[in-house]
Amino acid sequence: MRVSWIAGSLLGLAALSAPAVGQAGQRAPGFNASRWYNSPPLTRENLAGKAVRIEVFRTW
Amino acid sequence: MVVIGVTDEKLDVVDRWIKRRNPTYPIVVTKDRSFEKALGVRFFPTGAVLDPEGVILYAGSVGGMGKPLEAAAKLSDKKPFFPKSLKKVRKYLGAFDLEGAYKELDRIAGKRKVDEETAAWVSQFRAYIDGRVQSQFDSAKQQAERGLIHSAVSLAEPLAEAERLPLSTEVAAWLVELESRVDYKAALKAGPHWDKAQGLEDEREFVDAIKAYRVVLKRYGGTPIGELALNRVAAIIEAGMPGFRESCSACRAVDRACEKHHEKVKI
Repeated sequence: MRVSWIAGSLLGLAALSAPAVGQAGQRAPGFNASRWYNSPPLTRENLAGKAVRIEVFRTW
Repeated sequence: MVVIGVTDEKLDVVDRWIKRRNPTYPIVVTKDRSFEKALGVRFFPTGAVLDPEGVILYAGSVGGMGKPLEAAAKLSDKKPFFPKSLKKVRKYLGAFDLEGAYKELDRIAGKRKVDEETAAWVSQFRAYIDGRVQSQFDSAKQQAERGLIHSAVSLAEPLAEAERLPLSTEVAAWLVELESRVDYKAALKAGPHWDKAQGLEDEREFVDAIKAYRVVLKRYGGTPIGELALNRVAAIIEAGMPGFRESCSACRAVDRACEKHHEKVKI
């Protein structure tokens, strides 16, 4: 309960720190991967309990 | 905190990028854009922060990630995601040195005291490298089939020479067989010219890339690699890329050369 309350207030915080484009507040889906580099495949299960920083990038 | 890079580009493009940059954080190449869609990605790079329950706290410009990251870190357990002892393994992987990574795993596994968590990661990383070896060999075969012998050799040779890795004998035998191909010598000679053209294409210097592909075409026309060069020139022109400027927002918006910058190039 406490965690979801904190998360709720963080959402407000994230909304204030625009430009946010995403679907904040929803659970992220798992990765439908064709390859993982530098690590065995990471799943929602083994990422549980961790803060995750994602960077969606292009190589150019 | 765990850092994950996400891209949906072609595997060979990502391969080359990793070989140039040597990142050590996990990078996933996605098959479809479902993950990106869930984040609402509209530009690159897009940063996102997931809380310890996997809920999206933030998705947007990378510059705006600071506060959500701090907040997510406060909720997270403080243990590092990968055991510190695996740091070298990850460094070898980022440098595309699969054998180095495998040997380092052997060294860690051979220690007197290995905690349960590390042992579990060691076995996961070993299985992961086995998979990478297999897929690198598969890629080498595909490249050879396309006529890119030099690329096939550069993928297969490190596997053949790495005795600690699975398949090394099999790959070595395959390389010997490859040498008997009629176009073997010509394709090897064409290799550096092809790589130059492909590098320019990766950097999105399309007009220069076309010039470089034309060198391959002129010198090696009639061989599979010459045909491939012709196909690349046609594909770049057809996609409307010649003249594309990364610095132009109109070009970026349509992901090809905008009306103003479009350059007419004949096949």
